[in-house]
Amino acid sequence: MRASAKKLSPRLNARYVNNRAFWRLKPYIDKTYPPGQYIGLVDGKIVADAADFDTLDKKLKLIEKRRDHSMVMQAGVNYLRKAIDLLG
Amino acid sequence: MEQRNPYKGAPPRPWITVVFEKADGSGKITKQLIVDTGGVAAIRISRSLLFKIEIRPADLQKTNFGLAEGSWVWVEIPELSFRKQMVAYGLDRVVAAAKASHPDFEGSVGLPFLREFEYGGDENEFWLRYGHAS
Repeated sequence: MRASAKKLSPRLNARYVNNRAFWRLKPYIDKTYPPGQYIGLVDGKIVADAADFDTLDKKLKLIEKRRDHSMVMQAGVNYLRKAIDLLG
Repeated sequence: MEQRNPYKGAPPRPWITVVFEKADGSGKITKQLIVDTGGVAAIRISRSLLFKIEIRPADLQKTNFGLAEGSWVWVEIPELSFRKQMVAYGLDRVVAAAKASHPDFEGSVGLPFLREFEYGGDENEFWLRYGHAS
């Protein structure tokens, strides 16, 4: 997913950076970490991992104070880059 | 343990009540969400609500209703003793669609959410069950 040419807020820009990095790294993540492992990214890089969310959250708080610059995903989970909502 | 609700809205929709924990620890927020058994996201809510309950950012989804920002949130259904961190997505147009059915509705839950439970319905009601009967 590409950020458009228009200027993004720092918060949304950080989210795009991590989201792009996650999808680029997903094959590596799924091959390297056990399924379900929580993976923490900050500014487009994997910085920590843990078997449970709370442990990873504590690690991330020590690494990056700005929550918006972080991202948490799980190894081996089939996330959707594009989704169709039928509710309406 | 079961949550059972009569269908509501026009057209009638199955729905459940869930409780979100505020990210700053200042309390909880209770919402009624439409049950969309074919929904691809665990939870769709408004962006303003998502910002109040976000623990950590998750992924971004491109949808037919626009960009959906994902965030980890605490979700509870107290009467079912259910409490779990899940990824919810902020998508205001889904909330608008839900509210068009009934103003009480503040979003939807989809199949990734429902897979945590047993669920079903009959002519009048929808129910959600959690826990493994012995």
